[in-house]
Amino acid sequence: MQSIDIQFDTTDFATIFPFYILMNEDLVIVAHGPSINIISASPLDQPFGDFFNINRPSIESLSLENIKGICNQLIILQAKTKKNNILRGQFSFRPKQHQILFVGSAWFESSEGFTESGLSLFDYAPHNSSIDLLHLLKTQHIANAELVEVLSSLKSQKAELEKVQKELIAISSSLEDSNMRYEYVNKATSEAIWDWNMLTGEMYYGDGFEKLFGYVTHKQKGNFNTWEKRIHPNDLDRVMNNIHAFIDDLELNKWTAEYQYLKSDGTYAYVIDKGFIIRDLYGNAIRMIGTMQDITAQKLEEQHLRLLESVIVNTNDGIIITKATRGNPIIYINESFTKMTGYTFAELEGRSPNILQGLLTDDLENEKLRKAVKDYQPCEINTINYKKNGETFWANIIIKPIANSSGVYTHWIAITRDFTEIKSMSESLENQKNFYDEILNNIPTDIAVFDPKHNYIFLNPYAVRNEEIRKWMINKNDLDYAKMKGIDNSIAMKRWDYFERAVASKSTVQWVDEHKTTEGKSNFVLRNLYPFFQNKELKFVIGYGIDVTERKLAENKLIEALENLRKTNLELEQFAYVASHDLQEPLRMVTSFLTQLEKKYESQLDDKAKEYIYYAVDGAKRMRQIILDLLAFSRAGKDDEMKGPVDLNDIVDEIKVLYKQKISETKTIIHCPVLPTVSANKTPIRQVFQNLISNAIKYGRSDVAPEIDILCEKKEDCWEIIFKDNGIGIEAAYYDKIFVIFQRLHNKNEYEGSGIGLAITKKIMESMGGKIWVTANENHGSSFHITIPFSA
Amino acid sequence: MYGIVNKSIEELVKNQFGEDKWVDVKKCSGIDVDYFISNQPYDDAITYQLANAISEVMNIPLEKVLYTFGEWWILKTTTEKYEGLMHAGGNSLKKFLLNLPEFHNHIMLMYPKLTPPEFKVSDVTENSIHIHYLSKRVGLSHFVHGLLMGLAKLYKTPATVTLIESNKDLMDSKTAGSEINPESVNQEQSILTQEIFKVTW
Repeated sequence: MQSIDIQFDTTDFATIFPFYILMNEDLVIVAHGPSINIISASPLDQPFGDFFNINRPSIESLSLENIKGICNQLIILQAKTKKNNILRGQFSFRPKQHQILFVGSAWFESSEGFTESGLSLFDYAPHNSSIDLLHLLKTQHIANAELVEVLSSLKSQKAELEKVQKELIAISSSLEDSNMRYEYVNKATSEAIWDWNMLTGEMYYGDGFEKLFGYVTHKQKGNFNTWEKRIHPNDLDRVMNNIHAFIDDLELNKWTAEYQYLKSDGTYAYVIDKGFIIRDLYGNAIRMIGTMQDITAQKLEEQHLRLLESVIVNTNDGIIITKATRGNPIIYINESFTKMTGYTFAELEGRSPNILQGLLTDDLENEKLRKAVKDYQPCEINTINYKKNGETFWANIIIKPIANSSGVYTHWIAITRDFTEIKSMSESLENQKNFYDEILNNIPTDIAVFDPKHNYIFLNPYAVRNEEIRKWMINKNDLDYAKMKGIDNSIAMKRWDYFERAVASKSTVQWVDEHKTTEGKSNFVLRNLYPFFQNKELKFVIGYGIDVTERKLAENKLIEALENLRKTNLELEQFAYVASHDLQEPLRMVTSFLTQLEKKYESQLDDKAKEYIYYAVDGAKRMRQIILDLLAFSRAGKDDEMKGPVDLNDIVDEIKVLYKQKISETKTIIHCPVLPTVSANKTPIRQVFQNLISNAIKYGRSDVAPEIDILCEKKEDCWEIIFKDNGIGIEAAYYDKIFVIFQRLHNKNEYEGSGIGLAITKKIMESMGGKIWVTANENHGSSFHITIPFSA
Repeated sequence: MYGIVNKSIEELVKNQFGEDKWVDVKKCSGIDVDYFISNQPYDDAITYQLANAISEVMNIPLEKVLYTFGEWWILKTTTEKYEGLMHAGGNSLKKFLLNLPEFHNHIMLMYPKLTPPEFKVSDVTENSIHIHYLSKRVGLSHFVHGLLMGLAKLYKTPATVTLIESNKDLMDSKTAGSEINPESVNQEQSILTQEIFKVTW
């Protein structure tokens, strides 16, 4: 047998086995561990049997042999001095030493025993697990105790739950009753019941939603949004703000709102919605239950009543309500009545409406009123009433008895209208009408008004003197008249034609009718038809005729005179032409022979004679020029030439060539834009340009070279050509005079010329439908304006 | 931690502030455990949540809560429940403190799912001792302080306890702050927190 040889010293051994006991073959304890002293009185050198009992296993007697017999078995020893202390371990026989060794440790079944023993953890060898196991056991005990506690708590909870369950069953049964009751209510009530689960947003809609609003809800389930969407947009913000403010206020639980709710047919119902909120322990709103009532009918009635009330309050008519008892005491007056009469309600309350009557009140009318009151009959009278301040006013009074639901007359309502103003207005209207009638009846002018179908709606006596016929004519036309009179209807047809023309053109149509009198004289009537439209619709046509016989005769005389004048003028022109033409011949002879005289008798003539001849020739030349100009003037405007396109640029160029020498001598500058081509006779136009340009050069200032700006502007219906010079200018006073024949502003020695140029120019311009005038320039000179019509 | 710790906290709150407050603390901590069983392990975070919740509900600094709990643990929980065993740890404060390292080795065995702290002693004199506290948990400095003071009271030995050394800045910042983050405490530190308390009597 293999042996291990381990040497312990006593201390070492005692540390590892603090509870060891070593005894000799006589069973006397020869050594023991330190912890033995704690569990027993010190047994050293004492017989083992005096201090310990072997509880297990049982042996017949304590002897070496018997102990040897139980070696390596579990041994339980009991300390004799401290009987509670038990050691558990084993005996080992040491043959060499003839000794018995006990190794083990104190054993406790509970930590309390351990505590009582006086041992400490450190009296055990660290390898010994007994105490730790004890500790574990303790922990287990504690845990068990806790579990028992938990169990007991669970048991009481279970009992509690059972109690709650019983209560729940009771509640649910009563809930079932309430549900049934609710279902009956739901069916019976005229209100729509809703139930909003605020945690899920789900909403239960009761039967009322179908009955009142026509919504068929699947299983009566919906959500909050459905409700929200049906609120009228005008009410939505208010209702939402209101309900949320309500939900947030933990103190509140009853909610009410009035709003319009969309029905399934698209119309809105007025509803009053009342809700009750259910909150959890923390005040959070979890559920809301409520009812909606359709108050549309009440609302409409209310509005209707309010409307009626506002009519009574706001009408301009004075309204009085009295009792239908003796004296008819007043119980209500409206504000208009106070305004009308000056009486306040306080002043009239309980008094009779008689207070408004006075001396001027119409007795007959009053009697009528009294009778009506007596008989409970409605009545209307017009009479003078008195205001509080004594003033009178014309009152139109309508009274009506009011019956209660049993048909008994209880009240009177009187509506008073002040028609003083209307009365005076109608009087003044009457006057005005008379005034106009007077005018219409006496005006020496035919006046008629036709309806759009050309039937007469008015005729004044001047148009048709016979009153009977005048009345007959209304709603008839001229053809009816011709037929009635049995006369030719050509005038009627002509008038009808003019009538239609006036209507079609929407403007006045004029013509002159000639009537032969019985004496065979002609009477002339200027007829006018004026269509009157309102909103583009023909309302009527006004026709009037003025006797223009005298005017017509004067006009005819004038035409005759004018014709005579024209003939005279023509003769004069011919005379002027002939005269100027025939005068030229003798003049030429004068000039010619004077020239001959000068040539032939030059040597015999002294200087004085020569000077006289010079003046005579010069005078003759000027006379010739005057005659030529006169000829030109008399011809001016005569359409000898056909009209055609005339390029004004060519004209200006031609004139520049014609006056080339003069232009270069005077250093004249002519500015000219591109001018238009006009429709005219070329010769007279050139004459005009030539006169105006040559004048501009001629009347230049001595210190500056002439400068001519020709400007051209296109006007609405003509060209305006302006000849602007920097010359000496013309005083405004002479603006008209310069265009008169033979008018000169300057001495002929200063500026040559016959004084006929501008007169010719004017005559030409006028004959072609144009104009000529002069204006002053800002600095120097004048501007001559001519206009050439586009269709000259 | 084992349920006994949480249970002890529950008893502390019920005892000191009343049953109602315990309901409030539990509601505030957000933990959903009806009963704590002493020998069942629970998530460390629960303990920290409870400590934070007490601090919040009672408006007491967290340090004070932990300190009070330390004293309570010794004087009430262990003494009442494991009375004999506590006394088995030694019959005087000094002896108990000297045996503290050994004591915790035993506890380690008894509570295999526990990560108990480890203690060492040094600088033993007639009337003072240095207790080295090593733990993988952070933020329990004030708890240990309370424990030591509780022991002094248990052995009826007037004593002062001072923290004389701390190797963890993290821990300082945790204890200085008003809240321990249950998330971070759940992740055990790889470095042991070591603190040295000097107990003088």
